Amino acid sequence: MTYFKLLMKNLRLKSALWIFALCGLSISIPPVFNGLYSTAAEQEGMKMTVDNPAMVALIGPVPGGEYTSAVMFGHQMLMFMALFHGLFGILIANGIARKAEESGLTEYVLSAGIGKKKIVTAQLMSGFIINALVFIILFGGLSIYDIEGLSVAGNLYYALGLALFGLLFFIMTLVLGNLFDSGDMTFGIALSLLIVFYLYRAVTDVANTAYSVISPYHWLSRIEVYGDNAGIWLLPFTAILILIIFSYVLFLKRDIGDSYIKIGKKKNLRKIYSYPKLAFINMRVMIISWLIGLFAAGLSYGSIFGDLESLIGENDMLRESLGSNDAAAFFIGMLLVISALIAAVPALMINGRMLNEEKNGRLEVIIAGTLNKKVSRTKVFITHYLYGIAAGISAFLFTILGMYLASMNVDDLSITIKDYVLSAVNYSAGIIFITGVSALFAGISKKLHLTAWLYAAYIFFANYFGVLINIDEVYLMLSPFYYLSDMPYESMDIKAVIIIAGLGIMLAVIGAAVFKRRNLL
Amino acid sequence: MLSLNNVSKHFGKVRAAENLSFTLEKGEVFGFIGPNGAGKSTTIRMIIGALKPTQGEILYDGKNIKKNKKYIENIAYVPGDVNLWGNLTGEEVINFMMKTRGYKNDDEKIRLIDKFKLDGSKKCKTYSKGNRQKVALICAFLSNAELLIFDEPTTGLDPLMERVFHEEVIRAKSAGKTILLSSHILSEVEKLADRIAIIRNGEIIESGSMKELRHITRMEYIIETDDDITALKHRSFVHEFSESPDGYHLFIDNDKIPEFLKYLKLYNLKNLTTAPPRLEDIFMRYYEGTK
Ligand SMILES: Nc1ncnc2c1ncn2[C@@H]1O[C@H](COP(=O)(O)OP(=O)(O)O)[C@@H](O)[C@H]1O
Ligand SMILES: [Mg+2]
Repeated sequence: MTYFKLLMKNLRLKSALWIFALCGLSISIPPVFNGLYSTAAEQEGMKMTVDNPAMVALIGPVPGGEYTSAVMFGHQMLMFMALFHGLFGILIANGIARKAEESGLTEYVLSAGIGKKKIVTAQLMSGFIINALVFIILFGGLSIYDIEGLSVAGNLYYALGLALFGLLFFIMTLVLGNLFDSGDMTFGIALSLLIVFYLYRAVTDVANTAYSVISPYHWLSRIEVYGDNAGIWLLPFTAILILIIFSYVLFLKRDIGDSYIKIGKKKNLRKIYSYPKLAFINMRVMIISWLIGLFAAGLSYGSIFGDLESLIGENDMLRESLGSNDAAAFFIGMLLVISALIAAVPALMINGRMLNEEKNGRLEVIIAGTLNKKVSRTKVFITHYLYGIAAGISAFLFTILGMYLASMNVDDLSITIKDYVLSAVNYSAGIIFITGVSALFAGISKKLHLTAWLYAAYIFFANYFGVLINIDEVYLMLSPFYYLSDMPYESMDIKAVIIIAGLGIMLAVIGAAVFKRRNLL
Repeated sequence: MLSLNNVSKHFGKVRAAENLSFTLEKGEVFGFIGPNGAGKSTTIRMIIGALKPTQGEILYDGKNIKKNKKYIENIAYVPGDVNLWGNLTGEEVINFMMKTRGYKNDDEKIRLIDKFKLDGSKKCKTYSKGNRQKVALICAFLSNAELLIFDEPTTGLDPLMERVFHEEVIRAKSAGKTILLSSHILSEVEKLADRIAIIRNGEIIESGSMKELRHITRMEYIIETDDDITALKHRSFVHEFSESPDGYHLFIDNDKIPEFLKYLKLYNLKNLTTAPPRLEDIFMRYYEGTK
């Protein structure tokens, strides 16, 4: 089984990191939930909060019986974690199967005298081993806690459910790799399936759960871990056996490099005739991932808005620093600042992409010989700057949209759509400022641009601790958010918005002027 | 069309280029030769405006490039190690360059892709160094730029493709283009260049036509014979005389070859081969001269 060993050796680090992150995320949650709602009335309150269409669409139908913190953990975590475990399976499987084949590795392995059957077996074995580890670590990790309701049976089903879910998508990706002729295509289709199953059950869970049974996510919901513990719902995962047969048969019956479905063998040429379009094509995956990610983050923030009062009530420190203010509005204001900062990250990354173009020497090649009005340093700079601003602000808007959608059903929230829109304008000025700092530094040098990241991190901590421990105001003066009003809890200061945004744009203009003249790396 | 006047570039303490002066005439192939780290790439990157000279000025068509930003539209540049956008196909890159250069010639594109045997439908991330090089070379030969600059262009190409490259350089020259070709291999440049400049440690130590430079090059002769030719050793134009299993090795000053051949007639030779001058030999000779 030397090929198997080789595979595992190559996967070692990558899968270890994934397993560490995924299992760590699951295992770190129960202590947080424990004791959050201790009385039966509080638990009933929480159950009411998640029992609305938006939340059901997000995390699945509400399990019957008592909504203990263990049940809450299982219910609120499984859908998201399944999504990540599925993604993990897809990435690993695609890497060792279709992608390896595409790069000629599989052919090389075959020529070394390793049979086709052995190759499939080794690929399957890697999937088993990796997900077995996931199971062992999750089950072991959760068993350590002495938390009421975190039963052995519950832990077993939680761990086994996620491991089987990961394995299902691992093997599904192997099968898909036989059907399609490129790694990109296989990944795209597998990822779409992962997402479509999720969205499908989001719709059917709200409408009628009977239709949800086709979706593997729903199988996890129906176990009702830590409550009913209906292990029978693990049974549908036997579909894995069928997929295993397919993965053997499909691979054995075809030539290496061939595929059963051939889409556009003659790929049509894309018309990439301008620099902005070229830059967009290179960055669109990153930009879109951020938009989706922050939308999801917004949804999850919004989903706790109904509970803000009780959450803040628990925390003496927070309570004290709030005084008599509208706690929910204050808390949302803080979340908006943090969200704006996070939304600035893709903008910084986009400026970083420009520096990458420079470092790889592509910039000087495309500037030479092309018409100045089509490609020039200034044009490249402005392209990245504007994409950065657009991505940052859109990411922020998507976060806010997520918050709004998930908190629509919360009755006693004093925040209106208008508040959200005006807050968006207010904090976007901060994003423009931070992007301006990043553009200025990127204009000066690649090394200096690292400082822009430090700056963003500094603002993050200053604002975060600013609220929690009331740090001295001096430390906040470097942050653009210090000068903007704390919406939605204060009213908007239009002058501050214009000045901060204007300063940000000015910094970028200076950056562009420097970039035009300086030595390239 | 392009001239450098006392151009220097210092990176902190490193003097990558020092007081360089040379001129490219319209329609010629200019060879720029030097070992690794000599300052070739630095000089070229100053010409294309990626680096700003510490001192001196660069003139294009008589105008300082600092004041005439548009000069760059007339130059196509291929670096030694080309990076392309991984998720574009080779042909998409070529089309992009054609479009942004405001140039259209599909027949020529097809001819070049065919000649360099490039599979343009593959994504650039799957390309080897040589294939990436080909994409950039095709873009350069396709362009209507008047000056083509190649920085060690053949390092990733196989011998067959190297020949194709040489043919295309000659073709471009006969179409009236000016070419700046940097290399650390003398024999390559020698074949193509009308004039050369030799750079070492940031300084140009020789420049001129190959004929003018003959006095600094030496030819290596390998002689197989049963006769004893050690007497030759003492001639002033014979250098590094040595004996090895495949015969006698000796280096002869280029300008003294006729005289040397006269001496050779005295012996019964079984075989006589020559090796072209190498860059290292030139440097050796150059340092002997300055001593
Ligand atoms: N950006 C830079 N910063 C510092 N030193 C550099 C830089 N670029 C080149 N050098 C130095 O300048 C010298 C000349 O390099 P280069 O022009 O790349 O030589 P060549 O192309 O002839 O091999 C080398 O010593 C190199 O280390
Ligand atoms: Mg070089």
